[in-house]
Amino acid sequence: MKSFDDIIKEKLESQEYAFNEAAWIRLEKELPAPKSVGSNSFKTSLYAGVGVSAIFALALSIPSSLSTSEKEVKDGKMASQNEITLTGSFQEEKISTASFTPQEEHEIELLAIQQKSNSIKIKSEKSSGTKLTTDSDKNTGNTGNTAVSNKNDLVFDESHVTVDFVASGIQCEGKAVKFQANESITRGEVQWIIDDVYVLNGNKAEYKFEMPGEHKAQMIYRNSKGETKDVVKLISIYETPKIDLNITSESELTCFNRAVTFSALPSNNTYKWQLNGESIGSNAEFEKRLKAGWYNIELTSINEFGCSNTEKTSYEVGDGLIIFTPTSFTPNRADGTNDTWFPVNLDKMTSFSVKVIRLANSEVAFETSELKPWDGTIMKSGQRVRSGELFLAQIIATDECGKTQKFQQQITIF
Amino acid sequence: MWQKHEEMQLVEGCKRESRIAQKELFSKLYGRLLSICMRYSDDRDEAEDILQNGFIKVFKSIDNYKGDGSFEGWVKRIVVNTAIDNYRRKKVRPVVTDSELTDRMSDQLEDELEDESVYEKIPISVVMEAVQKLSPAYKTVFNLYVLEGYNHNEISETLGISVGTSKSNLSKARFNLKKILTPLLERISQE
Repeated sequence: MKSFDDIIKEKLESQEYAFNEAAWIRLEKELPAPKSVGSNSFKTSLYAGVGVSAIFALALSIPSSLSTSEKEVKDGKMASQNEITLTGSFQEEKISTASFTPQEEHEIELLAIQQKSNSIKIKSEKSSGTKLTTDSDKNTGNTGNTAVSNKNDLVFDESHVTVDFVASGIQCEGKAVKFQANESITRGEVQWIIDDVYVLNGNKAEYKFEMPGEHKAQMIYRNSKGETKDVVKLISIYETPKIDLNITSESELTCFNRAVTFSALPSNNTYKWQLNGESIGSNAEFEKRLKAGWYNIELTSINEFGCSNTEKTSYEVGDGLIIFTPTSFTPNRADGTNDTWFPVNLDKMTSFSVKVIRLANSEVAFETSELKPWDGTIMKSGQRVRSGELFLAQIIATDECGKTQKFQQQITIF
Repeated sequence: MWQKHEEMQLVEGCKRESRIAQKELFSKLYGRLLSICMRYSDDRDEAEDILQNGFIKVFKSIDNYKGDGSFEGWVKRIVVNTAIDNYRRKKVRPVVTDSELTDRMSDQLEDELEDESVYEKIPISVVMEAVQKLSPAYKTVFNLYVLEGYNHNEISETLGISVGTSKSNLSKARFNLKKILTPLLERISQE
């Protein structure tokens, strides 16, 4: 059985992280300058990983039996029995060096060429036992020591290139900022390093900054020779507004509908309020009367930088003022209980009218606009109502908020 | 794994300060060595700093590598030493606890979870996070003892702490790791 230590060790040792180009760029800045300028102009299969177009290839097969006297070649020079050094040149100017171990077959790619000309000349001189061939040898049948290759399509002028970029998009946290390299950059490689950590590739790139503040965007342009130039710009990312949303309704009931107060902070932002999908306002605070029920509320807050944030919530509006109309009373019992009839809460209305109609003959039995209960006397005749008689009460009431409601209720006399 | 000749080519290239060789070497070792740095640090930023400082030392002292033993092992030793230097620079006081107490705590956890093989169910990334959450003193002792194979005398000399403190910190590191991992384990078991 594995011990706890063994399990943790095994797991930690199996953890491996993907290579991060930004880490190398950061390290490279700290390293002393290389001794041999242009040494990265040659690439061997051993030094794979530099993704630049290859324009010429040599297949080199070196036996291990070379003697010291056989090491000298014009552009390919044996440095020791265990190593051969190749030096490429262009228009008499040394452009690269690379070393190889005998007994191995190497592929050499010339990665960089100079501008101003469209021809490349690679000279080589056979050394005993050394076989040096080029792609052009294969194509032309040339078995001599000199190979000339014309690759017009791969030679280009980079003097017009402007290493620069523009950033566009929304400068708000969590929103995409688009980076676009200068349009003069049509060849080579463009890499973006965001905040010294995140790496993006290509002439166009997009990045979402998750934190507000100043952010560093570095564009690195690598030309066909592997030379790099960079430009750094600071991108200001603004904070997304935090929404402090508050919904309250009044507790004192004086109206049929509840007054609901919608408020949001900070008050200097611009707001868009939506209630069940319909726009209801744009102020930081306002009041709206709502019927009882559930409402979906959506609030979009836009700050001074144009950054927006939306919050959704739901809110239940409780019942407002309800006029309660008694369905019966006992005016003839004279027992001091339930002897009169009057709707409850009418006293909270700013105006109202009550009409009670005798259902048997449709006569108006009682009518008032004042706080005066009905005692069961028929208004015109002065008769008393009889037990079992049915009446219909019709009420029109206007609340403190100016809202008028009409409703009716049957009344039974007991 | 590298072929020996490939490794030698890169080492020779690095000795000549070839940028391409240096980059190739860095990229080949980055993943494994960052993992080491991560377990000695609190977060990735700190780990990247340790790795960078370690590689600067590697490239500066690469002429000292004479081809004896594994090159990767040589680089790893430099990086681990850099991580230890980083720990010392933080001037973290070693956490000293009552060894009896930590023993009791460990026993208690072990009673609760006798079969330690259940920890195999926990994802690798979570284990790394848990190690990072340990205090610098605990995680350094744990790394040196469990992963680098140091004994307590060697840890005592390397970190300048007593053997007792080393033992105590190791117990507490194990205890805290289990404390972090066990609830997760219970959740995994329920799923």
